[in-house]
Parts: sequence; C-alpha cells; structure tokens
Amino acid sequence: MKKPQGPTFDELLPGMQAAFFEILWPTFRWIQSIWIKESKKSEFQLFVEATATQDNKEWDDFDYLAGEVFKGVERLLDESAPNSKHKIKHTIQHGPSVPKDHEYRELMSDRVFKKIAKKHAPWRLDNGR
Amino acid sequence: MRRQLTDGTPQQRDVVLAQLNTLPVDMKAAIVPDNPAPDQTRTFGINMDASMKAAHELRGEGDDENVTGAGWQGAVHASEPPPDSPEYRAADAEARQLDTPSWEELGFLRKVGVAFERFDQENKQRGAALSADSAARHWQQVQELQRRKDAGEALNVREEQYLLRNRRAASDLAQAVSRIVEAQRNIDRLPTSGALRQLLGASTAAEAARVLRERPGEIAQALGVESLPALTLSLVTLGVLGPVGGGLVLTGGGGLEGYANGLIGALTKAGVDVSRPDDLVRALQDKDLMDRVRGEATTKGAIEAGITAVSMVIGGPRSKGHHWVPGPIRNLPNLSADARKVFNDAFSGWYGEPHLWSKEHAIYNQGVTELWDKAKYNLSKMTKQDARDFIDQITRSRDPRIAPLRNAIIDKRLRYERFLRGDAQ
Repeated sequence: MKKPQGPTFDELLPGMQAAFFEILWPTFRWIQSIWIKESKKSEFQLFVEATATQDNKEWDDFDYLAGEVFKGVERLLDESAPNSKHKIKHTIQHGPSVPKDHEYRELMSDRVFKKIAKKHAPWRLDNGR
Repeated sequence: MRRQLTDGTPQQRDVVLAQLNTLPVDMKAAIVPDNPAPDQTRTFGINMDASMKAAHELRGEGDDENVTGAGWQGAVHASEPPPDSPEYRAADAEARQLDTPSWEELGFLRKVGVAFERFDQENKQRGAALSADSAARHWQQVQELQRRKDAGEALNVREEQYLLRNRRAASDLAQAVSRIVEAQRNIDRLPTSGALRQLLGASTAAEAARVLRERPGEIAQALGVESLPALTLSLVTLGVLGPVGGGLVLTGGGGLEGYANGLIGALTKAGVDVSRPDDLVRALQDKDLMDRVRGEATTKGAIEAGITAVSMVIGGPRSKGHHWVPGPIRNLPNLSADARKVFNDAFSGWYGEPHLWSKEHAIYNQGVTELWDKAKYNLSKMTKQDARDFIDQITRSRDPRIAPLRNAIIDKRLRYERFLRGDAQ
C-alpha cells in the first residue's frame, strides 16, 4: 500500500511565510530578509540577511520563535500523515547577503511582506512591518 | 391595515388589499367599513405588478427606500387617534423608537441572539417571497385561462385541471405576501447596526461586496458568527443562479445548498479567494471561469471543499484576528495617543476562524497584564517605540500563559494559508 504523501516544501512555504509575517517580521525589525532551503529531508536551513550586529539574546529569541514556527509545521505534517511523528531541525546562518545558492527560497523580505500585507493585512503597510 | 389603506403607498395599499381578499366578507367589512356590500359588483382585486414590486422591495430589491424605512404597521386599535392624525404619527414614531434598543446598547450575547433572530426572520421572509413568486405565476396563468373561458373559449382537459388545482391561487398569493409583511415587520422591530442594514438591503452581489469592503469591521461585529457563511453562499448563488437561487439557499433548500457549496469549492480550486468579496465578485463576472466552475460544482470533491471554505470564511477575511495587547490596557484613559494607536493596530491577520473568547485567551490576558504591570510605563508619555517594544516582549514571551496562544496563531496561519492555496483539500 502506498504511503500517504505529506505536503511538499513548496506547499509548506506559503504557510511558513504567513507565520513569519505574523510573528517574526514585526518583532525583529533589523532583519532585511530571511531565506530558507531544505538541506535534507525535514531539515531546514535559514539565512538571515542583516547588516547590523546583534547580541546573543536577540539571536536566541529569533531561534526560539523560528523554532515555534517549525513546531507548528511538525503538527501540520503529523495531521496530514496520521500515526507519524515528524521532527524538523533547523539551523540559522546570518550575514550581509544571502549566498548565491539557488536552493535558497525567499521566506520573508520587504517584497514578500508587501505582497502578504496587501492581501491579508493592509493596515500593516502603514508601519512598514 | 386601515392606516395602510388610507395613507400607505400605492404598493402598501395593494398588499393590504391582497390580504383582505383572502378574508371572509364580514371580516373585510369590519376592517374597511366603506367596503362595498356583497351584492355590489366591485371586488377586491390583486394588482399583481404592484404586489410583486412590493414583495421585491421588501426583499431589498426595489429602489423605493421608503418602504422599509417607514416600516409596516399592524392593525389599528379603535380607541387610538385617527391613523392620519399628527398625534397618532408622533406617538407611533415615539413608541417604535422606545421599543427598539439601539445596537450599541446591546451586550455581546444579546447581539448574537438578535443576529440569530434576524436570520430566522429573514429565512421566513425569503421563503414567503419565493412562495409569492410561485403563487404569482400560478395566479397569472389562472387569470389568463379564466379570461379565455369567460370569452367563450373551450379549455382543454389539462387547462381545466389547472384551473381546478389552482382555484386558490389568489389567496395563496395573498397569504404569501402577508407572511412577507409579517416577517419584515418582525425584522424592523429588531435592533441593527446601520452597516448591517445596508448589507442586508443590498440587491446585488456587487453591492453587497461593496458594503462588505467599505464597512467590514462593523458588519463582522454586527453579524456575530452565524450569517457570513450564508451570505457567502448567497453571494455566489446570486451571481450564478440569480436572486431566486440566492434566496433558496438561505431558505435551506438542500440540493441548492449542496450546489452552492460545490460552487464555492470549485471557485476555491480555481484559485479564487472566496473570503474576499472583491475576488468573488470578479470571478462571478468572468463567464469562462464560471462556465468551468458550474461543471465542476456538482462533484463530491467540490461540495466538500466548499463546505470547508464556508466554515473557514466565518467572520470575514478582514475581521481582526487577535489583538496582541488586551483591551483593558489599550483602553487605559491616560495612555498616550501614540501608544494607543500602535496597540490598536497590532493584531494578527485573519486566520480563517472567528477570534472568540476562550479560557486560553483569559490566561493569556492575565500573563500580558502582569508583563505590563512589571514594565511600569509612564502612560501619558509612552512613545510609539515604547509601545512597539512592549508588543515585542509579548511576541517573544516564553511565559506558559502567553506562548500557547501565540503558537495557536502560528498553527492557524499555517493551516489557513494551505487552505487558501487549495493544498489542504
């Protein structure tokens, strides 16, 4: 019997963008953009574009909240494939510009923010986040 | 009734005459003393065009604002001043004003109760309007057959049977019209918000969409939680089937309701965001798309998808999700205007279900209030940046009273986005 297929990375990306849009994007205003790639199955690599230096507390908070989003993704995957227990790992890198790696997808940026805000939360456009 | 006969609009008089026509002769005389005697040739006729126009106006399809605005009054008690006297009108207006509390005066539960009552009355009204449509068609046919018969033309067997079967068509029509009048009267007695009245009075999907777009917050609040799915179904079927189809869905016609759900599911699958009136109306006007959607709408998958869609759009897409800062803090009297604005604007976007009170929410509010108390802000001098910092503290919080609600919003956003893209079907 064929095992039920869970959502693909492409299918999960808009939901993750929405969650980052709601929680992380307004909270970490120093971030210029966030990129994501699936390095291995159930393992995501984030790249945060930021020029200003941040202290450990700031990165720890970012790591915690990104982790909460991925826990949400785990719950979603568990629902779509009953009797499974998904575990998503994530790593975070940061720097002034995203590596020229074609595998990275745009998770959040000013462009993505405007696209989502225009459709779902136009009031957010006023304060830019 | 007497008052409507004496000083009502022509449409009102026609409706009353239609009602009178169903009554025994002695009762007619009691209501209208100057009614001709039974042996006189004058009869109570039904002005079909005017009756149907009145029925349409009652459903909000007409262009005469005075009909619903003035309300439909009941029978006049004999001891009251004459209906056309200034005293009567003043007292009547005052009484109706006193009887109907303003929408703003109602508590949440009462508002929900009113919304349900309104929904029930509207269903009755729409059902009666459809009965009236049907009875009117029968009555017109009967009139035509009777005219031919009176002119000496021989009717065939089927026509005679039709005449026999529909011998009560006129009274059926009058009864249906009187049910519309009664339902409208009950609706008029219910308090309502101006925005809701405007929405319910919309005669086309485009008009309803415009009202929804311009006054979404008031409408979502006024509707409570029960009417928007019906409204969405109605919007879709109005566009596809016309007003009768839209009305039928609201009267609970099982087959049409399934079809309407199927239409919504098929529209969703075609990439239309049915939670957005603009998108919906645009789609309804796209003939090619609607031709495809109609073909798909009767499939089981589309119907199931539509049912999901309808449950997801309850509350409306622009309804505010979750305010990060609880109301008691946002409404503190000494809070600076800058901080209040930041707090009022800080809420999660729509995530596909109404944001209602819950135990988790109460615990969340308690946690946030403690966080607020610890911060000891100078309320009157609080800057925009201070307010943003406080919201940051909430969203970053690992407090077990605060974090679960934030994470629930993450979950809902993940699901809603998948739903909107059709991945979750």
